[in-house]
Amino acid sequence: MAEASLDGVYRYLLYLTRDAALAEDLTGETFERALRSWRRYDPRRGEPIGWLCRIARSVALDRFRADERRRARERRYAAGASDVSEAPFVEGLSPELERALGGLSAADREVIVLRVVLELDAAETGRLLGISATASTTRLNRALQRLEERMESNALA
Amino acid sequence: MPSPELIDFDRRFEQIVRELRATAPSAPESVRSRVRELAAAPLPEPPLRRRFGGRRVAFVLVPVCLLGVVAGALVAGRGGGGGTPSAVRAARTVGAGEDALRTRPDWRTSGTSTQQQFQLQAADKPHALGGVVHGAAQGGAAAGKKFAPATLPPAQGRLQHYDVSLSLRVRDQDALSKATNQAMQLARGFGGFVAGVEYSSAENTRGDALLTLRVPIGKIDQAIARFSKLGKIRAQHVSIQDLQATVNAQNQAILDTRKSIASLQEKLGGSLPAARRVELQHQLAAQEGRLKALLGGRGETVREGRLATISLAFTTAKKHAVGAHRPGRIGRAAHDAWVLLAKVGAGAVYLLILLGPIVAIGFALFVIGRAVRRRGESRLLARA
Repeated sequence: MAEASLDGVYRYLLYLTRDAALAEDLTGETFERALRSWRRYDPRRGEPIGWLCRIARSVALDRFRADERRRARERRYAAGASDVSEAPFVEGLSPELERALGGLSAADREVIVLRVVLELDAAETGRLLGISATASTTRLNRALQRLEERMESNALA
Repeated sequence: MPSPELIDFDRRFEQIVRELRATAPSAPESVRSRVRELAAAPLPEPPLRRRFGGRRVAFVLVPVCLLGVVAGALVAGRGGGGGTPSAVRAARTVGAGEDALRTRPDWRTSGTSTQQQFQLQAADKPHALGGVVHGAAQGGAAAGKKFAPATLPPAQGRLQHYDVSLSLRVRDQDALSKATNQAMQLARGFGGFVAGVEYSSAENTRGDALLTLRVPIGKIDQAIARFSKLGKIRAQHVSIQDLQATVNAQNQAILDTRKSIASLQEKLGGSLPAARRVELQHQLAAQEGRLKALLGGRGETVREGRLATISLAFTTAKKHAVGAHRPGRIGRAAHDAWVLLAKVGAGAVYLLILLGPIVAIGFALFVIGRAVRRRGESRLLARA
């Protein structure tokens, strides 16, 4: 189960963080936490990838909160410094798509990776994000719309 | 098989979707090996509460609790309504007799330091003739046993207030009438009198008669022996209160008053000023009035000491009426079990009323907390 879902979890975290190194760390942390609480997994409530992505999301949110606190502390010493690397976070993506993805919020990237890359259905995505299936579809459409707009505006620029 | 919405956005954003899927990254080997190591490590034992899922526990606990409540109710039913039917009837009969006696105003007159109280219950001390029992012990056993009357002779040479209460059960209404008449004749035969009678009977109900008899204290033993043969003794109460000290005090007061009167009369025999004479005459009149009251009081006390008060409460067994409405042992157990279950239900409703608002507030706090947490997460992801 771990091997089969590993790529999916990594992809999810990579899109969410836009940082390959961070995604690797968080993937390891996710599986560590998942293996500790593996008995809580109930196959009747969804696919393993959904359960693992929920854990991965919690792990990533914890990390984001910690980063925010750290940034708030460091802001007075290094104002304006950005943590996110400008290097492409997914190998093989066109520069336009890469840039457009980088301009989206983590929430938009999250729904795109779940629905498009991991191909989870609306209900599973909704459960994971804590919203309804319809809301998850709406959020996806808006995210893709924004992605497309950014790609177009980048091309024009 | 992709869902319909997926097909829709697949078409709408075909190029983006195709590119995103084509370039989906794979986890690096370093992560893969780390996860393999984690998976190869022995899995921790789940905590006990996880091994027994909530649903499984509920499946076991709920029937066990229900079974426990029902069993408890049945046990309580057997315990509460238990005992033999005859014993229960006896207890009720005793209770009725006792109640009837307690309604009397002179029932268990309050005692002084020299008061002795003897109360014998058929259920508790069937043969305890000389037993001293304080308080009202109740019970229903030993219904069929013969219960002998207490024989507590009055003290010789001392005035005593002797009060006896007997609760007697008679067979039926005819026996009740006969026993009442006999009791009245016996009281007169002993040189006493009937101070009061209350007789009540009706068809298909329990009949009872309450008699207050005054009998010379010298014949109290014989009287109790005769009265107790008029029915089956269900309860008995004997109260002896010493009156000698009271009479002695009254005698002394009479003696003092007489001396005072004699002294006043002697003074009035001499020559006195008119004002003084009038004053002494007033004092003499007051002392004579006091003497009269004291003599009356002593006479009352002496009469009280010469005549014992016997309260008889006759009650019919009322077999037919009782039997018609009295359920059997199983019926009583079922009834008591039902009563207990009703109490448990009432307790549950009470708890629901008590805990309902707390649970509602807790649920509201949970929902609000979750909404706040999700909003915080959304903001965090929007900023990331």
